[in-house]
Amino acid sequence: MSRDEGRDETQGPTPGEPQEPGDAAFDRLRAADPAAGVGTPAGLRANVDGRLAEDGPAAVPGAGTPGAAVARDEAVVDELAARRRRRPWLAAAAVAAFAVVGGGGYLLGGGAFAAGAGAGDESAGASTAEAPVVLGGAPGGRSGAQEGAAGREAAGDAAGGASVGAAEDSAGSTASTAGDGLPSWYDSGRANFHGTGLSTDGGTAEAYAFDATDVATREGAARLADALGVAGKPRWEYGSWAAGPRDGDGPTIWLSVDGSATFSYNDPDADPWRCEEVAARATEDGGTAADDDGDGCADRDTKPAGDKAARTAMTDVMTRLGVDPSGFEIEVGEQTEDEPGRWVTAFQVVDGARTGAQWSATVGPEGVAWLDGFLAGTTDLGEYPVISPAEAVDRLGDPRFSGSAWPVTYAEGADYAEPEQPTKPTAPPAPPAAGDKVDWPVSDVEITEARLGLALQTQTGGAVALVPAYELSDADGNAWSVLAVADASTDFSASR
Amino acid sequence: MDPDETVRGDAPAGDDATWFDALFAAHAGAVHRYLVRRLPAGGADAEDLAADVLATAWRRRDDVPRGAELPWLYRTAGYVLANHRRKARPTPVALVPEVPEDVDPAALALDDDHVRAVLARLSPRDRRILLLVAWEGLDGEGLAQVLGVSRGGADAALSRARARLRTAWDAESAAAPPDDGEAAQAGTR
Repeated sequence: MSRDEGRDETQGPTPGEPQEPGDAAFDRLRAADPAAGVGTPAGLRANVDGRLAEDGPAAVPGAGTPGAAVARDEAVVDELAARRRRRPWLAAAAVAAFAVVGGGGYLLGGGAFAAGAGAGDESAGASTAEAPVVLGGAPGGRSGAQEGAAGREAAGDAAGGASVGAAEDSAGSTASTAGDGLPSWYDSGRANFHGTGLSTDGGTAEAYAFDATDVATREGAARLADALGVAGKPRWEYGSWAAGPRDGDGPTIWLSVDGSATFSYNDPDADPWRCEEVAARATEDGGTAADDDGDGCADRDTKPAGDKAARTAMTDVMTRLGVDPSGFEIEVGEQTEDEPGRWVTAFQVVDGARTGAQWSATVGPEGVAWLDGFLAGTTDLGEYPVISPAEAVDRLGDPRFSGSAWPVTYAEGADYAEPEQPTKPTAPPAPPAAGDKVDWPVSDVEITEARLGLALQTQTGGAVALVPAYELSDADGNAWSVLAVADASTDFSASR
Repeated sequence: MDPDETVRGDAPAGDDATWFDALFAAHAGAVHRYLVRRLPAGGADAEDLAADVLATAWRRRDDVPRGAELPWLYRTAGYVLANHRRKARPTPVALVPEVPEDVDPAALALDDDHVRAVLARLSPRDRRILLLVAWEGLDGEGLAQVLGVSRGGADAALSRARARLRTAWDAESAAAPPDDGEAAQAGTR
């Protein structure tokens, strides 16, 4: 294959690091990418399977599972996947979802709750709801409130339970990057917390739960398939319900039997990149974009959906699935050049705060091509006794509630300060003197603000609840989170 | 039970296959491009080596970290590539580097000679770090996983590599001014 084909395509890598302004050398290096626009060879999968077949017939992935040859050499599908990679966290989500990763569970699911949000309206350009409180020990659990790379990381974490290990790693190593002027918890992960000016009054707060019992079922999958025009009866596959052709020949759905009734939908015909690839291959083969091979690409609309159309596509499909969009804040991602798809996200809002549960869709010129969401309804569990903000600060120092001193949200500008490069030769550190005290730095953190919100929390059996939780902030804007439910209403029993 | 309803909940092999299908769909192209970038232009080896990497991912599926597949694949691709080079030209075992030297500027499929000359002024490790970010688009976390270091270490290593790239760029530009720097930059988005 020629490495020059399609050079000007936007298939290049996703810039992972924020661009440093005026870094001409790095820009030039990036522009010199020899693989820009190089697609996946159509025969690559066959090549891989051929190698594995040499290990023995049973060594090939999916050997013995009927229909596992799904989209084996579907270069189209591969290309789509490559395209989707441009939103790295989405690709991660797809892998996590397809693999039905065990453990904590990804947060793509949530509830179809409509009360009192009023956020799905056309005018909702900016979020009016509070950010979700993210529980579970700080490492990697940065809140989406932070923009930029950290925000993307948070999205990735929320979308892929599989990345939890990596996230912990990330926070662990954060410690080693502490630069001048950063609090020592940045380095050590240890802190003493105390509150100033916080209320000592407890109270009550509403809790909610997702109810998937009527939707994460075979009948639910059938209704989902019907509503989305997916052919065929649901089949039980890899611990989930699935419907639609296995060969990429038509729309498919996949419904997980989890506490949120997480589902995904894909319509290959609506995929905004399919025809680009078809056209590119036709040109490559020496012909013109063929319209007689039944792909229907010749007279397709290739103009990307506008903001309003993209938003409407999301609200329409939610409505079709029996979910009231007014319980969500809908954001349409910025239109980027040469990008035929629009990314739309619907954030669930309960009691004026985002819950962390969301739907996301890729909308092409012909409608929704990819959709991930959750179908479980949100039920009210009534009022729970909650501790006071002052007590919540004490919980930050209680190992039963807090894993470490790393915040869930970092103050602006605190992110990964670069250590100074010494310009002159430096001397090695002198050893401690005999009898010197052993260093064990512990930061003193003063909490000045408490916000009571809701946090997504997976219960022991896999059910998903929205529980009252505090977000506790210091004056710099670093924030920690902790469960707000009083001990009396908390079940501490563990299997061992 | 309906004939079209197949129960595979008790077949872990099926879950692995689904995982691998998803991995292939999401990352096969990236692995292939990684190799295209590091092999001489026009070489047909990239596809074969990509197939090696992906086959290795299946054979060692128990070792591949779920949710961090791509960094693992890049790391493996680095070793596969080093192995390939070793086979292509005899190398005393003692000289085989611990860290795969997968970005020898002379071997890069690179059209921009100025960039090639600048890269030649850098250490193999700096080159490796810069290309993983500039071409593969890795973020700090991914870089840390490929390099096998902490996130903080990766961030620091990248910032140092970028600083040295700027220095090398200036030095090379003084020695041999870039011919089409403006044009090349206009081409970036």
